[in-house]
Amino acid sequence: MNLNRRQFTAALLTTAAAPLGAQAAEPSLTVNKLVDPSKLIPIAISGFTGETASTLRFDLEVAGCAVVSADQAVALVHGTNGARLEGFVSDRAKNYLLTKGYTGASARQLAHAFADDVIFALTRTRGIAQTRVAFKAKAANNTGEIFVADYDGHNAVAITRDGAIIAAPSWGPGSQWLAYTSYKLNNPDIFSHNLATGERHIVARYGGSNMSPAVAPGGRLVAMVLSKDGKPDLYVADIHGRGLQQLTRSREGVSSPCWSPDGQWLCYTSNDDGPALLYRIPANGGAPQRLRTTGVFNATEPDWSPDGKTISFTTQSGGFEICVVPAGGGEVQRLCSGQDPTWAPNSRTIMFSKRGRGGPMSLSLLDVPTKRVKDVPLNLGNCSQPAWAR
Amino acid sequence: MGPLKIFTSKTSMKRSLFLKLSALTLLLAVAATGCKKTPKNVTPIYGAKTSVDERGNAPTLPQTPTNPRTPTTLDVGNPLTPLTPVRPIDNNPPSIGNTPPPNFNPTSPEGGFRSADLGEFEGMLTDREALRGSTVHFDYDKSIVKATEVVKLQEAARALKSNPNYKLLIEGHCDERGTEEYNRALGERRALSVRAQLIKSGIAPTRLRTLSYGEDKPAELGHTEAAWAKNRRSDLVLLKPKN
Repeated sequence: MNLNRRQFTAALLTTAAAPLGAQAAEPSLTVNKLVDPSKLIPIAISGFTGETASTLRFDLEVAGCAVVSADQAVALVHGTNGARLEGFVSDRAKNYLLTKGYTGASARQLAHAFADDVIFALTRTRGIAQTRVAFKAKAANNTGEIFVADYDGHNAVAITRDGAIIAAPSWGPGSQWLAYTSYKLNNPDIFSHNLATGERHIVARYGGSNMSPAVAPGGRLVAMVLSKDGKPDLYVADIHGRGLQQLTRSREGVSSPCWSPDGQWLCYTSNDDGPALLYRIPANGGAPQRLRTTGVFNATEPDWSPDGKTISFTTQSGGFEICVVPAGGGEVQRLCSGQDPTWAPNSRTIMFSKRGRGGPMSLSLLDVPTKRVKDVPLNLGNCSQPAWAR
Repeated sequence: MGPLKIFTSKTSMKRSLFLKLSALTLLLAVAATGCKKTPKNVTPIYGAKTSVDERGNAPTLPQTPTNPRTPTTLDVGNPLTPLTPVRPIDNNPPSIGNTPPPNFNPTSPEGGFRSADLGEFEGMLTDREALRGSTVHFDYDKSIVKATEVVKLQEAARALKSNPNYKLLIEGHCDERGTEEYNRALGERRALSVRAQLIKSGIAPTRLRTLSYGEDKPAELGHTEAAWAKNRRSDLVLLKPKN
């Protein structure tokens, strides 16, 4: 499936657990108590040490847990780590929701795997601790490279070595294709890059600027903004750049397209009605429709959630703010300061970039229902434009 | 040999009978379906797949434009069809020496002049110094070349007119207030605005290349209005032939 799923052998080790009857009845009650996603889940963590403990705590906090003392927690996460990680989740009455052993990978990977299982046990939703992101890291001379890393910034690998200005990585959902803009050939051109094979294609190198690629779900098509016909307009081609089709004929120009998860729609920013606002258009052509964003005066860099329900974007009024709006348009919810959001595969967590003091950008994580922000612990200097693998 | 001959003649007879029969059925079929009139009260949807000819060309517009196409009549889900543009787009760059279209708006490139191929500029020497003083500055989030900035383009136009071999690279830049990809498009819009101004003053579009750096190449670092004003710009780079 996805590259972002770490391949490792997690040996399942079901230890002698509590009697089956108690396991079936009691924990289900506990789980029900925890399903309101806008409330932090109070948990206690004990028994783990070192990198395992810090990784596990970070993963669980990002996923909407609050680490509290054992007497205030609804769930106790405990276990041991050495060569093997053994992890347990129980309520305070020692009803076990999860008992599992993990081995065969680095301490971080084992902790991530356990964290995902804890989140699944508590919320019945798929965790994101083993997912990856692509982003741009910029050097002092304005050149940069595209990196792929774990969602917490660890294990970052440069996937380009162009030594040029680079921008806008986009990761095709369910595919191994990345697309980005590189100035390597002295022009902003769009490249597609297969992470599995390393093959690279020029998708668009037309006169003018070739910008803002967005790889479609499945990785077969790329939407992009080209100015070759006189205005920055929206186009779609296949991942090799063939079969180029123009979608918009905008008066003022468009920017930053994204795909709906079913690949039927594109959402983008246009200035045709004055301020930068969101529009959507059928991916195989049609009339653009305004996406109502009640409560904000401009909207850029949309990203469509993988469950199709919500579009996140950036608005600007003084500083930048991350917002969400229903995918059909409507009332906007402002979440936190930052720009350029990308959804995690769980349709709940968002990664975005924000400018720190003195200029450099860094990456942060936002848990949308609880509005809690956590900075990505390992940043490679000036990082921005994250794209979550999903 | 005998039985084989009989066999072949039999089959040939059968074949000719079959051919006659099939020709008859074909005629009947053509007579039955080919003469059918277009049913009444059906609006032909000229974007539909079936009306695209075998070379994949888009169908021509219906002759009677009594029912202009509105967004509500769009057939969502069909392959990409040419929408009736809100404004006619002239994608054919006028040849050198031609005057720009009379309805041309000087402050924004309404005409949408198609970019020249990148190959046209391949291997040319870049001279960043010649037009350093001609950098055009813009208002916040605007791509219109202000009247006070238009005069800065005279020197570039002069240089291009007196040296027919010279070409021009127009770089668009933005300040950091704006998301990165929005700024990349805004920078391109600024460069295209400058290009349109130069086309208006008689420079052939094929000699003018645009590209955007967005906020990636600030002229001045810093997070003050003074720095931002300097960064919202379009740099002009003279391109000279190698020999």
